[in-house]
Amino acid sequence: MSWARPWLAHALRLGSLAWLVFHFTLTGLYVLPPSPLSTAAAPVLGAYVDRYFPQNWNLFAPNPLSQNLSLLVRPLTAAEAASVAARGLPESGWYDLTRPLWEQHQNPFSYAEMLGHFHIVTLQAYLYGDPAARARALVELRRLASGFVNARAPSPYAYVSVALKIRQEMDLPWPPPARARRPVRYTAVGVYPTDPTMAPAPVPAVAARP
Amino acid sequence: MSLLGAGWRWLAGSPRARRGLRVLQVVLGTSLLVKMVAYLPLADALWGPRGIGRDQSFVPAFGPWIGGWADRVFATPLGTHAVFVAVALGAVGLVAGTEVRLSTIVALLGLVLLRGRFHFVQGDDDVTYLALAYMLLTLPPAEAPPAGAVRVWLHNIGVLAIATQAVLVYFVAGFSKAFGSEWQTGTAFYYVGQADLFSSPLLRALSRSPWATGVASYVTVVYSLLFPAAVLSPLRVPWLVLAMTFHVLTGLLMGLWLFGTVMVGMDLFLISDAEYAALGRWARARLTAPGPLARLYIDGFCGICRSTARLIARLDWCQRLEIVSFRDPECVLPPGVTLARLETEMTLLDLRTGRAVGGFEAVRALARHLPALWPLRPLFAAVAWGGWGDRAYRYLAERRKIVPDPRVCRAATGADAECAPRDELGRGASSD
Repeated sequence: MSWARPWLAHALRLGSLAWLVFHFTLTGLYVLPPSPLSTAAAPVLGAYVDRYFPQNWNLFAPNPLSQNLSLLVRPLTAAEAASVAARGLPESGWYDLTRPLWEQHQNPFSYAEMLGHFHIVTLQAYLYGDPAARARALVELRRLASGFVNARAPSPYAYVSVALKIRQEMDLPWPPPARARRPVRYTAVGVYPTDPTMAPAPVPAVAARP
Repeated sequence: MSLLGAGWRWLAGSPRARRGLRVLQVVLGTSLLVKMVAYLPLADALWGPRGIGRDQSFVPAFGPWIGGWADRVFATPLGTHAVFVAVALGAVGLVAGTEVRLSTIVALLGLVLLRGRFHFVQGDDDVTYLALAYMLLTLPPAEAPPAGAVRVWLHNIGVLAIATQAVLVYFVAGFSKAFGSEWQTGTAFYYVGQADLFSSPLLRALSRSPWATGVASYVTVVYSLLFPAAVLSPLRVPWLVLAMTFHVLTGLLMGLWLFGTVMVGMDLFLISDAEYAALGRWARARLTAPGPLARLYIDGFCGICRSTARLIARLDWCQRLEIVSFRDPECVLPPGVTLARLETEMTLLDLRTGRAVGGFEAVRALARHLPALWPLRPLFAAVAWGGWGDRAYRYLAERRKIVPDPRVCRAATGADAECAPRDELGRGASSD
């Protein structure tokens, strides 16, 4: 069998080289902007790259994020939740879950940058995504809110509902104005029952800015 | 044909990028360790059985047997925390360089589980995951199979995969930005400054300058697009140094520390073994000398001068200095320097040029000779430029306490000797 070993070694060499070419051809198609080639190879890209080697190098591309997005949360007691239909959402008592994460993102030893980025991506998916992405984003926003409420609530059933809003601080176009307030837009997400089974999320929160 | 032949020889020859690979392992291990510690408070809330990722299953990707087993890991908080501990242990192994293959497998498996459970990943997660996956093909640090062995070939395929991935990251980042109107108009940097999650007060202030925002926006795109060509050219090392500077700046200005750290690791990986060896030779030549390069004359009768000499000797890691007391009768005074001058100021004689400098100028020359004092050189230069150096030096020198003591004639070298009076020419009289 000694004659087989050199052949086997050569096969291994050529096989690994072929894999390298195959792998990076597909990876290139996967990470570059959509093209007829990537569309044609979509089934293979989904089954191979997307499943086992997913990656995305489009941070700040094609244009960078320039707004400040925040998730605002208002825990509601049973009485408050019952009066929402008649009186609308309360004006006070809102918490901003995202702003403290921006403020701590420079600390490399904290989760602030990662969690803040997750908030932003989820809020963007809710605001601008396709129906499937919006539905998934809504589930995650509700879970984020429930985790926060469960960590802060005096008892598991103190707050039966939670109201969610998105605060968007818009960018100011170039050239930079000498003095200007950035326009702010609010998007009501809705009032949802809290999920008492969600693990409490000991995340920081601050009172929402008016 | 010759290009193909050269490529074949490159892959079949000796294992490549061994130093770069080791550096990358240390960098990836360190960043993973930091992440596992930093993310641990959110382990239950994001990855745990009651966390945000609780409805994610591994079964579609890995089948009912492996996928089902992976799902069960996250069925309890204990299992969730165990994954964090496993990744941290793998990270420690990567940093320490012990059981590197096992450490890579453990860290990689842990990352597969964490990524599958909570779908949100960032750039540094992707780079780490992919680099660790390609690293499975490479040789552990201590292993050295003969040239031409299949294991060497696979190692070099792994090296090529990591390098190609690094190049792809830069190129795709630049290519995708090139389609954006804000990058095309040179205002992207200004808009980044407005997103507080990726900004800082300094970045916001800088980004209001048309020059800063224009140059930063265009350079980012052009630099990334040229990266593949640059790393194949003689410009590779300067180009990589520029990349590392860029990543340090993104850490300082934008808080992208983890991504920056991981990318610095990838940049360091792209430096070849030959370049590391050349860098080592250059550093050794700069830092070590066959004998002392300079002689420092201090006053052995002055307590402060002796303490200073001891401190300088401790900082002289490369043995570049010879420290002597001019009170030592055997001490030969530097040419053209009188005893009177030595009594008023510390003097440093450059043994290569024969030039002697005294006072604050000697302090600055010392800082040039001692790498430990290099960080102080800008400060010394500023003080000298302001004219404060000599004044401060004279103030201290004139107030130093001189106690003639025969035991400390050679205090600088630690040896005792009898002192004999010196004449004005600086020659020690015979002690006979």
